[in-house]
Amino acid sequence: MMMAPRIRKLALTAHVTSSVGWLGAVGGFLALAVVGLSSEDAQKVRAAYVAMESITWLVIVPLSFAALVTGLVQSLGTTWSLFRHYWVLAKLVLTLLATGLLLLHTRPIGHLARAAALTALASTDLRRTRIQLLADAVAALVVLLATTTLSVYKPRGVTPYGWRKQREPSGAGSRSPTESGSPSP
Amino acid sequence: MKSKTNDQASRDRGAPPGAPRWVKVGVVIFIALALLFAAVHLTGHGLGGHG
Repeated sequence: MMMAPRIRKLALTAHVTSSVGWLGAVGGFLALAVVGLSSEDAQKVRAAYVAMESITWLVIVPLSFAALVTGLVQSLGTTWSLFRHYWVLAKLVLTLLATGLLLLHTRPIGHLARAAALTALASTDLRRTRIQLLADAVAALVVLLATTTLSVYKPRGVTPYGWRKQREPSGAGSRSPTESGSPSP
Repeated sequence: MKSKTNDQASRDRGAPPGAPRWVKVGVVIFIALALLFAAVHLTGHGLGGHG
């Protein structure tokens, strides 16, 4: 079902806001991970790891789901559709992957936050987990930059399904998104 | 340019066009990173590591 232009703009605004917000929140998470790993100030280290858990549950996780849902709404409500263009499909896969790995990594984040709340962490305490969280944040940033780049450049390429839909004699499936003026999912 | 020609040829033949180069490169990078991720976790440096 195609969305009316006003609704489409609203959905697009929600999608861009949540996606870019997610990217920014991961940037903040990365900054805290760097402080937690490199600072000599024990209070600063504790504060960083406690804050990381809050940012994860109150900002990053909600924004990741918002980006996923608004992206689905955008693609299904416009002629871009979900499985017709490789770049839309690639964004979906990357977003699902990033959300899944994020949820998987909430456990070490919580573990580290609880440890930091209970006691001052020495630079060698839980070092492997701390390095892992830094690497996770870098990986998440790379994935989110990739999805943002795909949204802006919209590289060419139609899937076999999209190709078949384009060849259908009539209806919305036969028009390209550019022809119908639909914005990006 | 070459892929455009292939797309045109596929269209003429009635067969769907192949995946563009950026998709193939992306899939290769994705598989390499997935293998690296699996290797890191299988060697015990992953999620469960507590220092």
